[in-house]
Amino acid sequence: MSTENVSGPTIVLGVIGSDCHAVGNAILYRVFSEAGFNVVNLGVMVSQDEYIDAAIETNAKAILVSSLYGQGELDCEGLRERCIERGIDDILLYVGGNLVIGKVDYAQTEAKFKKMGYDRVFTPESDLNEVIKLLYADIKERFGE
Amino acid sequence: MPHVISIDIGSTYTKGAVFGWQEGDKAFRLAARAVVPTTVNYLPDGYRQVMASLEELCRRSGEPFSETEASFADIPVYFSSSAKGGLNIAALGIVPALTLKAAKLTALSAGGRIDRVYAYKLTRRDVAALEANPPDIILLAGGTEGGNEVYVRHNGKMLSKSSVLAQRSVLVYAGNSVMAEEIEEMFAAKGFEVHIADNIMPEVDRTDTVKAREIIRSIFLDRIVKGRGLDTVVKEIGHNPNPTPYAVLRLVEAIYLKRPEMGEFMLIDMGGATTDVYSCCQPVKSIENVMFRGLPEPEVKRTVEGDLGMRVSALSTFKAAPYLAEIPGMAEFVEKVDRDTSHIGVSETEKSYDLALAGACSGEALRRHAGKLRRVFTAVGEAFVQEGKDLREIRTVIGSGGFLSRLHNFQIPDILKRGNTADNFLLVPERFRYARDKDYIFPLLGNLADNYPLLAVQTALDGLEYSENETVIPGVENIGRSSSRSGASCSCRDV
Repeated sequence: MSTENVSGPTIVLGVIGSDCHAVGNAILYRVFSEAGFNVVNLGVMVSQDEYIDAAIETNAKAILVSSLYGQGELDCEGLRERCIERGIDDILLYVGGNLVIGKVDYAQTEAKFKKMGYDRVFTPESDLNEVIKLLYADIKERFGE
Repeated sequence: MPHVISIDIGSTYTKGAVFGWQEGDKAFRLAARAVVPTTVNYLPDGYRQVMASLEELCRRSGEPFSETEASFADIPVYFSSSAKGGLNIAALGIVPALTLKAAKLTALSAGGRIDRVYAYKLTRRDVAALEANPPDIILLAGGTEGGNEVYVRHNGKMLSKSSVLAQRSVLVYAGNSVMAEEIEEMFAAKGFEVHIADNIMPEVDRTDTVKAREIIRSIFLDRIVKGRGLDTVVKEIGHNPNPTPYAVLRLVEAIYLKRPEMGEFMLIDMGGATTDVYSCCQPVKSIENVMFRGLPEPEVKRTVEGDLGMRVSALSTFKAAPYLAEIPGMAEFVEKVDRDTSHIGVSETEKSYDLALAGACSGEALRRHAGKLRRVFTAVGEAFVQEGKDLREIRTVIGSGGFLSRLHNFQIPDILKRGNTADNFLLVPERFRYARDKDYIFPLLGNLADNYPLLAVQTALDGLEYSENETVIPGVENIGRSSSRSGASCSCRDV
């Protein structure tokens, strides 16, 4: 786990499940850090509870879940419910990557993950600058910061 | 020859039996048994009638009593009482699949009946419903250790401001322990009875129901003992009763522990009002491509279906099993037994209706007790997600209760297959022998399971009558097992 002492909002980052795609994770860490976030990067092969543990300890405003190996749906379901039982019901959940197998319409995937309690759903083509803008806006709206 | 007496004061009948045994015996010898209608207004009357009949029967048959048994009153008595089929418990949790499910498991494994369940925040309408018909116990859970406090605080406030506890209900708190003091003060300030148990879900993947079960059982005893003169019986006997469902659970547990050669098994206890299902098996089989989701399942599990039963619940059973409506005359029969719950089917036609009802109760209760398997496709091929208990390797299903005990050659019908689709499978037993508790002796032996476990277990097993043929539920074998992968593996290589 690596953190940097910056004043921006804290977010937790990691690649979920048995997924070990490390390059994308390193890029995200750099981009979000440079955008002013205090990024708690858990790296690859992160379990749901590891995200939540880190978020509780650091009072994070958002959890950013990456999944690149196509098994995202299985790995990601139940995360919101766990957050609620563990006391961080209002945390922002972002998810992105190759979330499902095959060529599935993005709208369908987005609907599926939103139903699971994720606030935003991204594809590998999403513009990271857009994501950063959205994240700042969402944090401001939800936490007033 | 020493003896022991077991009595079960049920909601309809008070049953009793005298058992004898000698040093070196493997099982009890049934010396006498008697049954009288339960004297609902004053329970000691029925109890004394049964005791008098038992004594008379023993005297007439010249039962050889030992030296320490100078009079019938010297024989130890163990007894149970069902208190209208069990204590009603309203279970409260946060997330349905997490703390609410843990609360339900706790209530059922303590011998209670789930009255109502509430997830997340209680609304004013929920509280009004509780006030209109207060349960015996409100089990309030929510939050892991150090986890959520918001929901439990909200629900605690709503309940402490209501009249539910003033009327009848007792609160058992079994949530996040950080909130325990606050909850206790909230209710104690109003003079309400509140019990604090350990958190039933200390971590998301772990339950700890021991303390909560203990508390529920002691409240249960308190409640049944206070009602309708049972305290007089307690004074005469010198100790408290067991809740009937708890007694059966103890017997089932004892069989599972003491007779491993019996293998994995289930018991369906079907009555007029409820159908109780007990399963003893490893909840998850080690299969490489199966992932388990949700709260861990107990190895010995009990569920109670309050809407499935032969008489009081005939109407709701009819609704729960829509295929019953296809049987000509069935609807009329259900109406008839609903009006007269003591009606016993006499004609061949009526007997066939009862058989269909029994099939629906047992099949549906088993279906609800069983877990599910869902087929998913992953980057490495086909896999399965399991929720609930895998009952497929259970080889014995025991039937008990007034109706099933008397019924020869009962077949659990193939409605079990109905939940299966191409990608979803019910984890019900795939091939099993059905056995009936032919003397309907399980509840009485349950009372003896703590003090005479080996004798009680052997007597229970000796009383089983196995059906000749194996029941096979087609369509569930091998799904999710390694051998099933050959046909459909790795259909997603192009990802």
